[in-house]
Amino acid sequence: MPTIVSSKQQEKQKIALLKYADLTVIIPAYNEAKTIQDTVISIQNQTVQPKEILVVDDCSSDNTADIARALGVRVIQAPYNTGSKAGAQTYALPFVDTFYTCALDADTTLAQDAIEKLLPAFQESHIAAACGTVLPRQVKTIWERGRYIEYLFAFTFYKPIQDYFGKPLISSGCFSIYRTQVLREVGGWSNKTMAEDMDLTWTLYSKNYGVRFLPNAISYPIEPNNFSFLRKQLRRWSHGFVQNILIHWKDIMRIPYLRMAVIVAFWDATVASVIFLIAVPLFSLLYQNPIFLLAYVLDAPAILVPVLIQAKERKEMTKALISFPAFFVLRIVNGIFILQALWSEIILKKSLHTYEKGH
Amino acid sequence: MTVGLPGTGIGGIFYLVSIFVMFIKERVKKTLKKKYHPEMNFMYKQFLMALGIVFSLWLMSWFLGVTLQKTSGLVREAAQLLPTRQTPFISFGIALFVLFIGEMASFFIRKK
Repeated sequence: MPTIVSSKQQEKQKIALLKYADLTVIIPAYNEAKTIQDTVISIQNQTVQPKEILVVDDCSSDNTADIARALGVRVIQAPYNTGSKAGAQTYALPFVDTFYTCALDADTTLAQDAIEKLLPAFQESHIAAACGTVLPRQVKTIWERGRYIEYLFAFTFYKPIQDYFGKPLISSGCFSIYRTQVLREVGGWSNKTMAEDMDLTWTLYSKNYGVRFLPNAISYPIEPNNFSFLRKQLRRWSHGFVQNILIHWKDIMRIPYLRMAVIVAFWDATVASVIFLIAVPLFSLLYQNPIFLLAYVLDAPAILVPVLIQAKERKEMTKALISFPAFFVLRIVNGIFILQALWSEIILKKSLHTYEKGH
Repeated sequence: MTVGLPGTGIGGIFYLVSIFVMFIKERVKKTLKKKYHPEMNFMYKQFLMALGIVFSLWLMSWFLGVTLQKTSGLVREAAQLLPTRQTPFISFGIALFVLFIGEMASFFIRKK
């Protein structure tokens, strides 16, 4: 008896059977000699291969380009340093002749089936971008451990529910796939903000495109392992968040669910930061009693629930439990940087536009 | 990227409520359409996780309340200033208020 297969299932099967995808992977690279090899090899080992890997050498002073060429990938050099990841990625866009474009950071490796797991998102014609789970490649220092817990929490709790309502807040800049035509339509990645991934995601929403989050497509970026690196990253992210709110707020307010997600994120970033960093220590000093400091860990059991759920699935319970306290340290540091960004961008009107990666 | 203070501030409450809304929607869909919805496993997992978060918040409030009652002197006096039992309701109220203001602002912007 013949099996009736729906067109959606046919598309699924087609993608499942693909060995090569009509996809170009753009890897912007500035002085990434230490990491570019691992990144390129992780693409070359994918279960679904891209048609092309395109490394954009943003006028590196090390041998990033030579290492990439030795791996057999195409390397294009920007005529001058573009000053940012967004600049390098957008420079590469005219060189892309595939249906899909993947943006991948030069210090990020992928799970072997990451591309395979992400492509089915595009079965729906209005989907313009798709992203997956991000987890730190190394989890050793306090900062990496804090980030590990942060990601386990966010990608288990927040992101799936954002996806259900059709509004993942950000299609992660370290690894996302886009429809090339839509990327060109919106002008690629913009330099207007320090968070080009958030800017692009919110731009896509404002033009009625959709974004998907597929949790099984996993990428592993190198996260900050020291405070100097972390400081630069948090500065970029915090300023980028505020800049994107200032640019996109009118469009966001017209988009259901997204506006609520952004409003609560902004509230937590501002008011909660003020409470954590100013009100709690102030009360403790005023009453000469450290009991108010309990506020810093009041939600610890609640955070532990999604963290342990994901850690159990990944067989990383010990790693998660050891790393857990680091989250609360990182959270305080996050709060400091977001308050600084709010003060700088909104009150002082001093906008950050110098892109410093940090490593 | 993550910004600000991820956790169970009003953002956490918003996503908890979102999960409960999602669960109810999908249960109604399943009941009305009477066919298997492939996202139901995901729904149940998120719903159970949300219940676990709510339970752990309640447990923490209860534990704090009991522990602080057993203290004495200045610590007990300071503890009586902490609204441990009312905190979840205060947080929920703040979340509703913030979202209400946001929706009102959105309404006026869309009107223009």
